[in-house]
Amino acid sequence: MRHIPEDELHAYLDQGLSRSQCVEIESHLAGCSSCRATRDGIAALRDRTTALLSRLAPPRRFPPAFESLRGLAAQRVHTRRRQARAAVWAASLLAALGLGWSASTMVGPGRTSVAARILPPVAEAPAPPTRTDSVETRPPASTPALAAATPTPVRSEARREPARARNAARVGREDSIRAAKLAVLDPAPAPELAPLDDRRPAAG
Amino acid sequence: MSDDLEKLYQSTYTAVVRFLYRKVWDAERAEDLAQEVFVRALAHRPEKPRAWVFAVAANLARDEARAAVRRKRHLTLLKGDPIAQPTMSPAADDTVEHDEQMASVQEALNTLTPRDREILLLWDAGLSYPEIAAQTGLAVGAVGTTLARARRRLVDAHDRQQKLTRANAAHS
Repeated sequence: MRHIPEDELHAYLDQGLSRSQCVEIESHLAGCSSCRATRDGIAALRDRTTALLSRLAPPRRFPPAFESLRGLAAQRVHTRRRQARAAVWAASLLAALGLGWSASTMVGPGRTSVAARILPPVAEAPAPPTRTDSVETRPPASTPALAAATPTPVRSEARREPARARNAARVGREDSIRAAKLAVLDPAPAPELAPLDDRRPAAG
Repeated sequence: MSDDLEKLYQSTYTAVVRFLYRKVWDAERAEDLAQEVFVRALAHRPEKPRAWVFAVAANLARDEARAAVRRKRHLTLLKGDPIAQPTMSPAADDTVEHDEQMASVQEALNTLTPRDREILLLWDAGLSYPEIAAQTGLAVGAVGTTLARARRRLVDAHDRQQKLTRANAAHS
């Protein structure tokens, strides 16, 4: 006859077994005095352990109100969320800085930007009216004395020639850019081939 | 969920304090740690709060024991004494006065292996076999075996100490 192992009896007394196991053990105990004695010894050991451990108890005090703990927990959650938000901000800032830095290294002083390589060149802004024009259009001084004191602008043809040449070059450049843009935006239709019959030399 | 936690708090706060006290041997510190456990439970909202509370309590007690060992070692270094080996004896700055019986039980408990002690204390705190198994990593079937061994060792160690104490009293 197989007796019940001690650890199973411990588990039985601690209610750590399934219902079917309990039924099996109880039916065995009903017919085995040896196992009953062992069970009683284990029960006494169990009670003794509980009694010994009960001596290791701290002085009894009233627990704090649960509401105070709830307030502490809410405060902690709030602090954690604030820290998480700050961390997200810091991470975004760092990412932006990193992107800016990498972009600046890609487009260095000696390199041409990708955009400049792809996009057509933008027309230069028209030069602001030069001061020479305003000087030239200035009405003459009303009094001879003032006219004598005001230095008359001296514009030689030699100085005006390069300016004219520059303007002409700029106008030419702008025209070519405009034409290029138009060609990109509205490509000219492919030249239609004349029907073969038309190209054939007229008979006779 | 919060109501569940409140019920759990009312029913197990004392058990958690007792469980922690048997690990840190300082009543005030045990209460502080128990409150910390429930504050964390309120912040985390665990699915199985009862098992979770004891698991966190065990972790906090472990951290506390490590910190106590560090403090002790630091103080020893400052004094210039040889480094004391970490033991499971009560903390030197324990403010709670233990009576003789309590000290003998405490010594008997300290003779157990950490695993046996942990399982015995979890069982005494009211955890079921599956809960103890989940927390300690043991199989449910092995919990009974470990408990049987731990109980026997605790009682034997306590009986030996009582015998020794009586013999010493007879000699003096």
